[in-house]
Amino acid sequence: MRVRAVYEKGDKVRFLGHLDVGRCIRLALRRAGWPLEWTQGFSPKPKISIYAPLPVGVAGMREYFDAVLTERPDMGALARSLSRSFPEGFALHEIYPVRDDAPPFEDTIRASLYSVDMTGVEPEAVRRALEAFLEAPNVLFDVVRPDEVKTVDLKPYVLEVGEPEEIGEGRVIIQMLIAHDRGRTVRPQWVISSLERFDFKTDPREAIIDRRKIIFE
Amino acid sequence: MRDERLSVPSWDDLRRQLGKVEKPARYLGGEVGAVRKELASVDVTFALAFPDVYEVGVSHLGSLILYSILNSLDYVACERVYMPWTDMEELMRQKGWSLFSVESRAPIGSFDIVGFSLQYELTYTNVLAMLDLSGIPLRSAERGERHPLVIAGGPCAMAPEPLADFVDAFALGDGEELAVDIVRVYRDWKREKGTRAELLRRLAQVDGVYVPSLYDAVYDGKGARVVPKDLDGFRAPEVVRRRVLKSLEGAPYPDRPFIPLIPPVHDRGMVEIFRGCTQGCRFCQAGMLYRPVREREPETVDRLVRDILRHSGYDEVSLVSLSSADYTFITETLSRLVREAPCGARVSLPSLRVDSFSVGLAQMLGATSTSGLTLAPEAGSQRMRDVINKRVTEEEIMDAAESAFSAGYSHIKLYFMIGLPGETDEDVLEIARLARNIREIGRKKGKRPTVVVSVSGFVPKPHTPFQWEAAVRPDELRRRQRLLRNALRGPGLEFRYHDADLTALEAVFARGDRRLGAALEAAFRKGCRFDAWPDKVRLDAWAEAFREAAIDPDSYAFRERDREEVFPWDHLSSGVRKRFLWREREKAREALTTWDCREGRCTGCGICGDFGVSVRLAGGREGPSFDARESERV
Repeated sequence: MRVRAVYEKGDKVRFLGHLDVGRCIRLALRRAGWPLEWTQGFSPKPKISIYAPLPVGVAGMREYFDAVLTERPDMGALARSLSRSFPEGFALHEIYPVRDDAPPFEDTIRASLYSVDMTGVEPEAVRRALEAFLEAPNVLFDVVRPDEVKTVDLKPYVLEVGEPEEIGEGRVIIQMLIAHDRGRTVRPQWVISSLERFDFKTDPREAIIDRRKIIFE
Repeated sequence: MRDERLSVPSWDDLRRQLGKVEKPARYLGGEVGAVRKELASVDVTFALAFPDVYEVGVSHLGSLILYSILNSLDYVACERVYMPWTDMEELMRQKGWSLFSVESRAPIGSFDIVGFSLQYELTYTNVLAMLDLSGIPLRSAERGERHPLVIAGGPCAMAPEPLADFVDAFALGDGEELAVDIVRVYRDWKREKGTRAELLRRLAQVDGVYVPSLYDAVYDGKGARVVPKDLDGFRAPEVVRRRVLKSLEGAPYPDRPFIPLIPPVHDRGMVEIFRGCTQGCRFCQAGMLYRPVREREPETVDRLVRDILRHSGYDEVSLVSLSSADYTFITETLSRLVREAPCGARVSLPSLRVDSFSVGLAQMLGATSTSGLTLAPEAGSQRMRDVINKRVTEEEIMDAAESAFSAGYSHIKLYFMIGLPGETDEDVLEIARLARNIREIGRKKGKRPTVVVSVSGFVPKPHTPFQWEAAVRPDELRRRQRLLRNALRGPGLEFRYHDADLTALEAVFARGDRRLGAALEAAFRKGCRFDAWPDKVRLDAWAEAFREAAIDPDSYAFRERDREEVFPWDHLSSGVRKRFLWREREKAREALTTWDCREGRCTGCGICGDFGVSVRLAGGREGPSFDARESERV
């Protein structure tokens, strides 16, 4: 049977990459003693899927993974054992069984709601830059990877941007709703970087970015 | 000197800055099972420092053992710190941050004791960098009562003179009991509010502790002699003897290791099935430094495997030692673990002997054609293998290869050394012949085998029979590498080799004396870090450092020593007599081999007689008793 878990990749573990999160969850499930089903073949692995990868540095308040189990244990017991086994910084919100004929989960993700917390910025400058961003026909951005540079248009992915909220001297939080399109999406850091052409410059690596929630169809 | 008023970053500082460095999780701890005590509530705080990057350090079994023992004491809190990667060091210096522990993010300079693990010589600049990043004066002589006591253990502590000016005390040998002795002495001294000089004298009276500032380095034409100073009546011991645990049974072992959140280089559980090795390979320092062989009982191994798997969630556990196939009950232990598969986990061995028995073991572990098999014949010609006392015949190697291909392997990796004493071009070329013959066996089995030949340069190490030998110069090593590369061209053969210049640098520091400290400090000041990493080492800066310190590195690395030379590690006893080492060297020159004492006959190395210990095999068996006649034979 397939079980879906809603969990938190919290502030303390925000610097784990997607593969690290997967490894932490796998080890935690094994410590918790979940009856995991394993793949066949030369190097068997437990059947676990971690959805909607988050980059290093980004926390997620309501994240999802599935695990396939060989039996149908009590959900409460499963939840308690995993809560005890999670490393500090992770938290389990809920688990529930998923039908085998449910549509592929990844395909049902429509958008992610992020909060971006920046310091040393002028709220008015952020507001103007974001307005200009939303008015631009397209915003091309070069994603630099070790082996290639890929240009993406950020514009169609940015569905909504909230009003900059000033929560302290020069400290501003903005909310962004970013689309997922058949598994493809863009990072909030890229959006922040791209604002440079609209006269707003900050080091996006210093922003604290959290995914508040994932939105489904 | 760095400003001592360094700050430790708040969590908010950190999370806004760590996005700028590679793998920030290295600096944040959070490991499952890490111990976090209130530092202010204990008598002694201990920072266990590993002078290499996090993923390497957290895989080090010795540190794991010490961490668990020290934290089991209610009056001690032990936290860990690793060498920050170069990007993080840069960030820390730019922000004025002190090096901090991964558990509490406490500044390292605020700990009572900072204890380094010295696993290889090319981490020495990292040791200095870690002290400096902590605001701790580099030199022992510049430290006062408010600074931590800086100690170091591990294999390099058995020949530590290049670090003698920077480390207050070295801990020699097995750490299980010694670490506890050291923190106890420290606690008592702290209660009595003694001076730093008193602390050092007290430590020098603990068995296995070497306090270099209480000794003079004398260069008198016979070598670099290290002798105790006469300090108004007080003299540290003439010879400091390595601590040796009589038995591993009953010794504490971390059955609940901490589990890092990012994968360590060895991402699996580890159970040490025995310590020590008496195969007697003459190049191997570990084989001389960890004698005698002490095995754990199979029931203990079994219990540890189960406990570690249950508490870690790992799906693999490795039965580690210097030569795991030698374990008395290896077949029984492996077959039981494979059959019962506790927690569904795999079992693995870190290395194999070169024989079909070992290949059989690998097969039992469910290794398959997709995974490769690694064998270490170490030398290509029979003559060279006899010289180094790698007691394996060509026939046995071929048998091992045959068994491997029959078992379904198609990828075999072979480890060799070049630059060995007395090596000729023919010996080097024999490596290529051996590799081709192995591939041919695979082809006859109807496979398309690949044979990878991985070659490292030989470095003569202290406390081994080859401690008198010269290392081969980099140019000559490169010529031999080319010779081998040309002989290894062709389908199904791959050649890999180590950087000859790094081999040379290691050879300088392995047998270094106290004078090298000046070059080490100069290299550190010029920015040398991570010298074992080919993309990080800066040979130009090293060359300048040696020049400025007026050190001729060649005289350390490439000079053959004569029998009478006094070494700067002769005052530190591993338990293996120098006379035995010389006899082994003489036998090497005649290509004569020496047996393994666990086969039942004493070889006269001296440890059992001199240290009152014995070979302890599982099943309650003891090895041969010490044979004084064997030890007198020269």
